[in-house]
Amino acid sequence: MTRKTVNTVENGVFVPSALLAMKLACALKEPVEALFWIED
Amino acid sequence: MVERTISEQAERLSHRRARMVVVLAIFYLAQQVSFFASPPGDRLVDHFKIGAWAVMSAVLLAALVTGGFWRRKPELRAMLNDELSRAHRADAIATGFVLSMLSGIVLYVLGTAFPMSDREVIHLIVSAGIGGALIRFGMLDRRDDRIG
Repeated sequence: MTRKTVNTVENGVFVPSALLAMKLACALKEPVEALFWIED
Repeated sequence: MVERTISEQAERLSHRRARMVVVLAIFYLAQQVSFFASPPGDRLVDHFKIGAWAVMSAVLLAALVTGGFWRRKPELRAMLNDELSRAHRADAIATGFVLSMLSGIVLYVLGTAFPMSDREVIHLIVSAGIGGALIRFGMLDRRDDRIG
């Protein structure tokens, strides 16, 4: 993915798919829940 | 010539795409004005105009559907057509579809008062769809460029 995609995910503009979210978590060596969560 | 990584190339081409798509859309839609200003007849140049519009429409549609960059390396194409880009293209195609449908409906109603040839109606519907889709994709891509 491009830097543009990462920026849009970081800024909440784009919601990635589950697969992309897991790939990001894998790359950052963090659990998916640490990167993405639902606000109450 | 500076050797660029795939990521750098994708970055550069992505920025270029964001700028070019809107320009391309405006150019495409502006051409329609000339089409209707002097409607094609039966001259050789008119057949060329019709053919040129058909080819340009087909190429733009193919670029929207497939993501374009057909002559680039597969890895580079994959980066340029990542999930974000595919989502934008889907949004743009949906927008183009809606604009085509609306154009069809409006032309259907207007056709009773302002008769038009089949070719003119088809031309308007297709141009509205493709032009609208290009503008929508360009807007989304440029918005994301500004965020980055």
